[in-house]
This record gives sequence, C-alpha cells and structure tokens, in this order.
Amino acid sequence: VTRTRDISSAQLAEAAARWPDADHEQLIEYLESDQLVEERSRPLGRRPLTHRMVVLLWALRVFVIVVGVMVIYTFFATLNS
Amino acid sequence: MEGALPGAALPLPHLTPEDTLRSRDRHRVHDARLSGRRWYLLWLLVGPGILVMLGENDGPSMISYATTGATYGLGFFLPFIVATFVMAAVVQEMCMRVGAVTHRGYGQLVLERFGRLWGWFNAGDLIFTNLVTLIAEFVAIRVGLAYFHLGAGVAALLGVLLVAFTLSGGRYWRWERIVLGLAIFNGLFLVTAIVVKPHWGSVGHAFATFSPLPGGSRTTLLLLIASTIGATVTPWMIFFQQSASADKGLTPADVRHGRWDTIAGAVLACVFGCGALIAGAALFRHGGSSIQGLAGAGFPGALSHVSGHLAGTLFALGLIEAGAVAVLTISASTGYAVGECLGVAHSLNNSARGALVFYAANLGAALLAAGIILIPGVPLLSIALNANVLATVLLPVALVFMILLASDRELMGRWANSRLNNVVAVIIVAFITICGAAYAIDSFLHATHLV
Repeated sequence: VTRTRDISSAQLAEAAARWPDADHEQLIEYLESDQLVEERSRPLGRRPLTHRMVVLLWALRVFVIVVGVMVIYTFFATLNS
Repeated sequence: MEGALPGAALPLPHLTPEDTLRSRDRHRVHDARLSGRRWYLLWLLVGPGILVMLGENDGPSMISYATTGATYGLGFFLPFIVATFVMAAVVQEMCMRVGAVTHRGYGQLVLERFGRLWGWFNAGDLIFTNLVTLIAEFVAIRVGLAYFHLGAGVAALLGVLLVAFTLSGGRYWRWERIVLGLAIFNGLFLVTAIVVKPHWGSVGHAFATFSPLPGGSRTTLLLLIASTIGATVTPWMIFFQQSASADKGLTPADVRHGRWDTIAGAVLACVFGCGALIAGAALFRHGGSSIQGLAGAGFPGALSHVSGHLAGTLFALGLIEAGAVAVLTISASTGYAVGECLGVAHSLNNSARGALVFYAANLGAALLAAGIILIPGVPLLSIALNANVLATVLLPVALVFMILLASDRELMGRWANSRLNNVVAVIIVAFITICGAAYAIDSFLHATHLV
C-alpha cells in the first residue's frame, strides 16, 4: 500500500541546501536507521488477526455505524422540531 | 550527495529534505543529552503531548464544559473532567510510544498491519469527525468574534489564514512552536474562572465528593456526559499524537520525556477545562439551564451580563484561541491521515511542493469547514455539542486498533503494552462505548417518540 518514493536530484539538492555544513554521514548519524524516509516507506508485514478478534472488530464496526446513524438522525430530528 | 562513500562497502541511503531537517533536530537533542542540559532537552522534546491536549480543549469542548457548568453548577462534572483527562493521558501515552518506537503514523500502521479495509474505515471515521469538528471550531471562533461585533466572514478568513501561515515554513519545529505559543492562551479560561469570583469552598467540595449529582432531564445529562468524554478523548488525537511524534523524530530514548509532555498537557488542559466549567457555572442561577437560549446570546455575552465585561471578553478571547489552535491541529491530523493512507509524503518537514497531497488535505479541510459556517442559519451550539458526541461514538474502533498496535511485541519489542496497560485501556474503551451508546439510544428513542 505504501509506496517507496523516488527521490529526485532536485530533492537531494534541496536536502543539501537545508543543512549545508553537514555531510551525508553526519546527517545519517543522528537518525535511527528506520527513521529515514526511505525506510519508513517500506511496508511492514501484515499481522494476522485471530477469528475472535475479527468478529469483535466487525461487531464494533457495526455498532459504531448504527449508533452514529442514531446520533445523526437525532441531530436533524431535533433541528426540525 | 551521491548515496555512496568512496571505498564504502554498502551505499549510504538517500536523504530527503525531510530527513535532513529531522536530523538537524535530532542533532540538537543529541547535544543537549550529552551535555546534560536537562531543561533544554525537555524544551526540545515537549510538543505533541501538550499540543494534543490543549488542542482538544477546543471550541466545542470549552462550550461543552461551560454548558455543563451553566446547566448543573459546580458539582459532579468537575471531578469527572479530571477522570476523563486521566483516560486521555493513558490513551495518548500509547500513541506517543507507538510513534516514537515505530516512527510511523497511526493510519500507516493500521493499513500495513491490518489491511486496507480497516485502514480506510479508520481514516474514513477520522475524516468525517474531523470535518464536523472543524466546522465546530470555526463556530467557536465565530461566537468569540461575535462578542467583538465581527462576523462569520472574519472568523472563516482568520482560521484559513492561520492554517496557511503556520504551514508556510516547511518545517515541523516552526509549526509546533507557533501552535504551542498560541495554545498557552488556553489559560484565559482559568483567568475567566477567577474573574467570575466562584465560591471556592463549593469548588473544593465538588472535587472532594463528586457532588452534588446532576439532576433534571436524563437525555441532557447523557448528552453532556458523552460530550464531556468527547471533549477529552477523540479519534483525531490518536492520529495526531502518533504522527506528530514520528514527524518530530522522537525515538525510544525519548519516551520518558514524551510521557512528561503528555502528562503536562493533560494537567494544563484539565485545569483550563475546569476553568471553563467554573466560568459557565456563574450562569447557573441566571437561566443557564436554557442551553439553546445561551446559543442565541452566546456564552461571552451572557457572562458579560452576569459577571462583568472583563469575564465576557476573556471568555470570548479564549473561545477564539481554542477554536484557532484546534483548527491547526485537527487539519494537521487530517493531512497526516490522508498522506499516510495514500502512501505519499506526509511531513511538516517537507515543502508544499514535496508533499502536495498532505498540504492540500490540511488546507482543504480548513477551507471546507470555513465555507460551511458562512451558510446562514447554521445551528451553532447543536453542531458544537454533537461534534463531541459523534467523536465519542466513533472512538471505540480507533482505540481498539491503538491497543492492538501498542501491545504488538513484534512491532514494539520491550516498549509494548504491559498486561496492566491493556486492562486499563480495555476498561476505558468499554466505558466510552457504554456512555456513547447510552446517549445515542436514549436520544434516538426520544426523537422517534418511542419513549
């Protein structure tokens, strides 16, 4: 879902201009390896959900929709009255 | 920047402008930590926690607190506000921790770990509640400005210009510090509380005994309970603090400071929120229970009439601040959510050209909400109160995913939720779900004349 973005030469030039005194190694030194945009753009693996959890999540989803519709209906009914 | 050093075995990763700016910020944190400048380190690391809490002390929340005070006076709701901020601190600490450990936002993590369906459901909930809440924020600015005889057009223009100005720097640090500077003025509600000269003995009694208990209409009571919860824990806060913590560049080494940041935010917001309730309570014996009546006059006008011009002015300025800060944080959370779910650049450390979708969503949400308040005859107070209720109702699903992420050992390692964390978090979800459902069902039955 998350795409690794292409980094253009213009972006690299902009990056260099934002901290001209620092070299590449120095810039990387202060960041954790998984903090770099390139790394953060790599999708993590899926976490399988248990059957019970899937049922719970769907139940909550249906509950939220039903209750949400009730709130919206009440809001408009109150306005009309 | 070629991406490889001469003689190096492995090519160095490419650095984007976003990485460069984040690296600069981390450089300062690194130096402060090494040199033992503790207060400077704290100053560098605070931000997302205070912003999210004071951001949630927004227009609808402050109107909701003041309405509660005007309806029931000093009593049960004062300590109830404290309890809701304890809940908020527990939830927001998880968000900060997940953001600092994974360096990814909530929307992105849900999408990657649980699939597109759940990711988009969450993002859909957020965008919907954010739009409603943003409208309510502009309503609050409008109510505040109306006290100074300024119209809806000025409110809309002010909010949109503020969003455009804060976004113009292309730097997270600059954005965060401007919004923090504005958020300090949330303290105006505390000053208003002092100016209305409450009976401090009654305030102390309320905190100590949770009494007197509120009476009257059950539907109004449930509305105000749901609204008070929605005033402290909402979906946008979950998205915002995790994404902002990642954008700021927090790491596991900063989690302790992140906790202080969150607790400080919760304490400040709680004190200021109680201030709004105490200020509203000044109207208790002056027809305060007539909520819709107050919508016409506006709280600042009513306070001015009862407690003097200064109280009205302070409350009006507070509403403008509360609405303005929330417009900034909520539109930012919309930008983060859209950027994360579409998989495009989503950082305030990017220029507008480098993160077009993120900036467009940020500004677009504010523009849309500003446009809606210009429509004549919009029911101001109803929108403000129902925005919070809607947030409460839609919150449980987002919270369950937050708990799943924070307790994911593969993702969080030793920073994962403990069993106690999970038990407390599940109790919070259950409580919020019951309160939201109670109001929704009760008011629905009344609206359909089934009761």
